[in-house]
Amino acid sequence: MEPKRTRTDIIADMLQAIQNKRGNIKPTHLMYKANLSHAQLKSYLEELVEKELVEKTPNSNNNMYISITDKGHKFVQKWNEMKQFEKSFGL
Amino acid sequence: MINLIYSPQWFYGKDIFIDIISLIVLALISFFAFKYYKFNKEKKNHIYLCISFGLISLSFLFKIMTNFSLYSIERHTAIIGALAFTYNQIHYTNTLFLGGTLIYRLLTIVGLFSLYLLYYPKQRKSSILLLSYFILVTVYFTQFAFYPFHITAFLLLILLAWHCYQNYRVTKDRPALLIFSSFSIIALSQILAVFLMMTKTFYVVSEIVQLLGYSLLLSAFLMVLYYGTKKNKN
Repeated sequence: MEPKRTRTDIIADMLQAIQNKRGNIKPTHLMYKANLSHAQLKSYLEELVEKELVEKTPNSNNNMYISITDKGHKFVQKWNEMKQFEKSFGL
Repeated sequence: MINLIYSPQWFYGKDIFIDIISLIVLALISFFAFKYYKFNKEKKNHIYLCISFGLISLSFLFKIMTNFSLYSIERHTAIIGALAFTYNQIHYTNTLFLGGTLIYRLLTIVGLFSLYLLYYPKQRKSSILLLSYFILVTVYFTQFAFYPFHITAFLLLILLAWHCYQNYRVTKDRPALLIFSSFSIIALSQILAVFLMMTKTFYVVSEIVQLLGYSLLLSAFLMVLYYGTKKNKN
């Protein structure tokens, strides 16, 4: 059984999901990609915006999109490095 | 009187150099583990790894300082003549050796033991207490003979290597294979040190094997950093 995701795990999953969609994603897509409920998505998004890891941007059709910031990219980079460290050292 | 210096004279300083490399490798891993702990404080494993490697790294600092002082005293004595080697100097050298070596051995064993507890977490509290007692007894007896320390370190390192091998079997990760190999080689260096009672050459062999083990650990660690960065580029 997979261990329960920590808060940081969820944030990393969300940011990676945005990265995989070339840096922009619709909130509903993000909800599915990161395996979140609507309430969770709302709460985490607030946190991510506050920490400047993502920003909300409307597109030409006035639909809301979520974009990853440079700070968000750096977070994912550090996250990947940490995951490799855990994998190699058997943590 | 106990034998204060294990190294043959021609090897003085070279062993210190090897220990400095070992210290740097361990400190580097400890530093990165701390960095990752700060990044994700919800996972305590990083801080335990940081403490374990940090303790072993610190133990090398004591070993280096002790050996450096002992070699300096011996060289100084050789220059001014054996007659000048007074009772006070013998007493000082003995105290320095016992103090420095005891701290080095205590920190090494405690560091390895905490790494063991991190890798084998499903232990009863009573087992941990019992093992801690045996560890302390072992360290106490290393004042009188050096081999209980090396045998205990060898056993702990073999168990750590076994965990690393199991990890490699699951992940098929190349750095994990290198980490397994480095732990095995460092374990080998400990068992070689036991034969030091036969000839001092084993000290040299043990130190060279230790250098090989820590060099491998360093390359594994650099590979971990490289793979982590590579993942970002993909």
